[in-house]
Amino acid sequence: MKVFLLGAAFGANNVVDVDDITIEEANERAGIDLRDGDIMRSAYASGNLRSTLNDEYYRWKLPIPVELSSAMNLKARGEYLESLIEYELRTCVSFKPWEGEDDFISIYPLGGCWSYVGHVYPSQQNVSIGSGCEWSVTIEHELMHALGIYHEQSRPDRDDYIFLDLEQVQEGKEHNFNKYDLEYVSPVDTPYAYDSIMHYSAYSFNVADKPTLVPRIEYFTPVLGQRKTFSPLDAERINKLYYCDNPLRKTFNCNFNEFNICGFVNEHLGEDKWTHYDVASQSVIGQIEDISTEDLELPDLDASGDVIDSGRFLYTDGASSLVSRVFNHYASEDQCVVIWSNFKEGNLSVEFWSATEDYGELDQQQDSFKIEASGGKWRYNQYNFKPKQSKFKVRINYEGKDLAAIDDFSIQEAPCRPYGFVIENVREKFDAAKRAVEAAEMAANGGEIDYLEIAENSFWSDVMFAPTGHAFKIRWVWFAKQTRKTYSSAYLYLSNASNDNEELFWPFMDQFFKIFARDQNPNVLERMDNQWSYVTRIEDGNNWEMPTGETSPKGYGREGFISHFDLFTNQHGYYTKHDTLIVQASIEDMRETDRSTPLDDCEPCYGNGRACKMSGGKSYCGCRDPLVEKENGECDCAPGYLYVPTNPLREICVDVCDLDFCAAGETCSHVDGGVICGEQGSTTTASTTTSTSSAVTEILSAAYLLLSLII
Amino acid sequence: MKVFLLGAAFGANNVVDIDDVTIESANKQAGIDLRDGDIMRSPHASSMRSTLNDDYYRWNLPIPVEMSSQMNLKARGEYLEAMVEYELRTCVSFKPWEGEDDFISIYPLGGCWSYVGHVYPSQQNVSIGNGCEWSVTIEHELMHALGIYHEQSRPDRDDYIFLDLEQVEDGKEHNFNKYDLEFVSPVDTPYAYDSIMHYGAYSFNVADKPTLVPRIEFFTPILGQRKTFSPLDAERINKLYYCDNPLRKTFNCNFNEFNICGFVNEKLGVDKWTQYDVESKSVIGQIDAIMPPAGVPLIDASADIIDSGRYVYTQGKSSLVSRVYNHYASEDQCVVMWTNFDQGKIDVEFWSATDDYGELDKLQDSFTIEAGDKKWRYNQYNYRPEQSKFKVRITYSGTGIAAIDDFSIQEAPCRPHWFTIEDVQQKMDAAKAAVDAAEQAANGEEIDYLDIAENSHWSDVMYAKSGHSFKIRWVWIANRKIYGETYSSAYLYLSNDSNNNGELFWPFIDQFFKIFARDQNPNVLERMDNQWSYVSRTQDEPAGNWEKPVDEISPKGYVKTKHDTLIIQAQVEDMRKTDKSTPLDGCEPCYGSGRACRMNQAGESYCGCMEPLVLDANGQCDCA
Repeated sequence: MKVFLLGAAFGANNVVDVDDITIEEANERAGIDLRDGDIMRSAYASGNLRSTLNDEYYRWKLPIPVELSSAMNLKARGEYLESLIEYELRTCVSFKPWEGEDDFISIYPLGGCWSYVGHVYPSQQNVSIGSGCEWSVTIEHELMHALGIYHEQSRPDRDDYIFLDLEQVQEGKEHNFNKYDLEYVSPVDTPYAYDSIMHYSAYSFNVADKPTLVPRIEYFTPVLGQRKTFSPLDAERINKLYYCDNPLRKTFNCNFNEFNICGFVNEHLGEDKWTHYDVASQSVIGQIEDISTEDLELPDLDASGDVIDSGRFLYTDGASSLVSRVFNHYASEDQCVVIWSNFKEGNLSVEFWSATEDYGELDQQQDSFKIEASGGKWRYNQYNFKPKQSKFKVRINYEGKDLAAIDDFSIQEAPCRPYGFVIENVREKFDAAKRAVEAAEMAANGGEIDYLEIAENSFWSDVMFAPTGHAFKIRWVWFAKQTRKTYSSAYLYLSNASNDNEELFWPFMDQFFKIFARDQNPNVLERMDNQWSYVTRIEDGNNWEMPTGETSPKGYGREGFISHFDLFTNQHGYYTKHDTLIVQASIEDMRETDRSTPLDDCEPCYGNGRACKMSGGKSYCGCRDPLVEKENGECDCAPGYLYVPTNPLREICVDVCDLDFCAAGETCSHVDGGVICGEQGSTTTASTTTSTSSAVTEILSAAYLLLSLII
Repeated sequence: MKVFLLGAAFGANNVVDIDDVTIESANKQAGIDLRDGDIMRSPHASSMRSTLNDDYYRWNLPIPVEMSSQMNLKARGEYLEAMVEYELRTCVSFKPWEGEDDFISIYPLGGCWSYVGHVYPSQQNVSIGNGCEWSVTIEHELMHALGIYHEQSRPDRDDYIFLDLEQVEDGKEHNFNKYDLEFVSPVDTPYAYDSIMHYGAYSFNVADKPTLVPRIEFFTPILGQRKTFSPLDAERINKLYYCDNPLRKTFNCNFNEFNICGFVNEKLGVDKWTQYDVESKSVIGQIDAIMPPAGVPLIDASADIIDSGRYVYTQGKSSLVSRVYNHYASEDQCVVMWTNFDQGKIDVEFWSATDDYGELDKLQDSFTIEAGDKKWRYNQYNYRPEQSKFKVRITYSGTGIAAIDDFSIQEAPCRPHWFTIEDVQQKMDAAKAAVDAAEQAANGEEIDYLDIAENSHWSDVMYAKSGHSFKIRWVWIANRKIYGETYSSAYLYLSNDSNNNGELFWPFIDQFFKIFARDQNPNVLERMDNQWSYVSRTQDEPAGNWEKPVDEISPKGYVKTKHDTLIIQAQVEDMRKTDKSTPLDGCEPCYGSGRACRMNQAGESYCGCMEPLVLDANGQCDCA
């Protein structure tokens, strides 16, 4: 694996900036210059560019078998899993390992990032995830091509929404800005998606420092080319294209804004009960009798606040329990449960119960977690619940005499990120960092300064422990550096003090770690977390050896982790809602990763018409369907079938008998080596009209040519 | 057809109150007492397999439906309304029976009932009898046929409602069964208090106390709502029938998102449509700070409804162009837009789109909105596109400030007649004061609420397609003695003065008219209009009512208002020429076990054996 060190800064604070790069950059480095950037054309479909989008023929059957080449590196593997979770949560499109199904996608690092659009190859179809493409959003992007979706700026009506400044486009790169007609890139009845992961960024393929793409709604300038995850419109289109009937069943969201409070209900209707409160009107709702809240110090903001909604939450002013409806879980063993709480004293616990099969009543308590009091502020809580049965219920229990409020309850069928910390009073800390940076610059009097040396400019997490026992910290930097003032950075450090443990393995390599800035949108499906990942390597020097008192491991991270626009706009990703930033992380030990794949047995598998196939669980390099191997080892259509490369998929071999080959009144039938024409019911002419396959094909090629000319 | 005159009031003001009845009342009057109220059991499915979770009991779409020739005109008019609702909100569609193997036949068999799920091969009956001729009742019975039970039959219903068995009539307890999860799976949706599959709070009660008490009190008056599908009803149908894109027939834009739903300025000049955020009182979507001009509206049109409040405005002439819309379902596209401007005009144009790049091609149709005062105003237009793809262009011509909000298109005809009542609260208060005064003056004597001038609001004269003129009368306080403060009435009157036209036909009978109080929720799919309908008849009292002018009729109901504005809509369909013939006619009589109406290759119907049964030697249907 090659890592791109963009402006690696070995300053006083020893950090390494490992930046993810765009598809455009990755392909430029790989020397790939495809029309439309990363779209590979099928030899089959080169002739007439049929619409892969509107033609169901080019759509995959679900789940799609995918096989990763053993040449794929660990980061690509880690990020591939992340992209599968995103597909799983937001769409009905699912992927599975290849087990010999007729058609499958193979992912290789073939140089650059590219894909065909739609399902255009029978048997095996390649996607390339090369150097610099090992990024979940890039993998999501390439797989979206394979699903049949073009670039957003290829939409025929794109000129209504963006201004393409051709003067700013590098010479010879204009082909990246083609637009295609409606039949090819139908918007599937959705508005232009400025925030699609299929959209180029504003500065794509530009000559100097001016943008090539200017959105007509200016707000979207920094949004164009976002590389976080699917935007809601991306998911909507995939779901429409693949006729997903209930793609969102894997998430449950409740912001407690509806009167039915999402099917939650008080266990007993006593004096103390969970009560529905409306922030805008400062009143209790859902009750007929007036309930006065005058004596209560209720939060004046709901947890979903800063987000477009009316602001409602639940509170109780005494011990009481709230019970959910029955949840079914489908997809994952892990259910990430999130709830926001706001209370000063007492105990709040969330219990998970099995439900009776018949009436869905609380049966047995299976698991629970406790939430600590938060001193009158909204606080984020998460818990990874592993249900033992398909149906479960949630019971939220407050024990205490004071006030407790909850909001924004969600369950998503995916593991919670195991590590995280919260930075509160973001604005205040940010402003303090800004003042300190300005003061340092003033003192330096024009000289260069290291932003990492300014204490106020960094926020350090507590020590956290990886599953392997290794200790690490995350460092948040408000102002990345002098030449990149509008970005904040995030770095992961091996901890110095807490790793004095001889029982741990060293060096700490092949560890896949990922840092997220959490989008606090209560709706899981609109949530777009900012993210970055890295896999530790031997080549990183002795950085991942056991730290001693003298050594100070470098921080690995992304200098331009998040722009201040993203961080503070709170419109397109709510990263600092309630003046609070949530940073999360995950670490996977990938030392034992099994890279073996049935694809291994197919190497080498070159040549026209070749594909990796499987028979009896054993893979081999065979001829792509429907081609057959001829005596000279070439793959070709079976005798009696004509090769028509412009036809889709398995229709590339056309039955000669379907082409009016025989004269009127004659029957056409297949025999060994070709077809024969004969009179109705007669077989006597067989011997005279039998010809070799190639001869037939030759004649037919001419016939077909003629036919197509007539048509 | 029997009409239920509930408290028909022939007062000084000559009105006839024709109320729609609940399924419960209709079945009571028909003498039908089924377990679970209106659920018929198939002898085939007596073991009561789950019809909901078993794909086997689901219909193939579209479902062929045939209506008996005995179905009256009101049932036919309301059936069409139910079809539009299914069409707009779900992927479940219905078609006339053309000999398909399996179909639903609707007869007035006495009461309102259905089987749950697709349980009969060949022909399966639904009964829409007397008093069931109401779109929501038809929607309800067809939802049973689709496989859905009553909401209060959910196994976990006791978590959500308190069933007070002491209040239930003796012998009627079977209406409150609950069934286990496998039978009435909630399809992963919360308990739907507002489902049309839910009984009312007072169902099957002995006296005046409720039998069902929701644990969230807010829902007490909502239980048993009879307007149309609630969002959860539609969601469940769509989940049950694996609908992949059920909402393609509506387009909604409340201009709250930054992408303003794919609208875009035609030219980016000084004057352009600009997005304004009410909460922050600022222009959004721009990088350069733009100071909004004085005089932009202070609230957005979607206000009073949960949202952040954003709209677009322009100062000076400019055009906004939409993305390309595809229309699928209907020849009629009802386009709605709210406007707020007091100078100039707004033109809404409909253009064909080029096939290749989806550009504006030819102007096909347009409508003009004239300036009003600085208030949000409702506008609607029935557009009939000539091609499948079209674009919308909205142009303001003038030098003032013009704002628009809540643009929607739904693939259904607009209701042709409508009027708005503004300053609702003030008018309601005035009516209340006048009623109070009249009651005081009457000193305990009975008074006629219709006699009090302030208590009524009359529409202008409106004209039916047939040329007949009518008015709608809105009454703020229906009758305190009966309904308390809680109901308003709506009545349709033949207009007295404007019908002096010798060319019109009289009497004005077999006219299906419907009055709606519009739910002004900008989201078409959450919209639940309050509605009532009637078919005028020769036998209506007073005699000769539909002869050249006197007056007529309507129901009670309560309505939500927005912006202190009430929107009343109406439609009138001439049903005199309705063709009631049906292939079912060829099957009469078709009695006996195992019998069903079938159709042969020639398209002729006959009474045959239900599949897979065959006719045996003695004329019985039996297995082969």
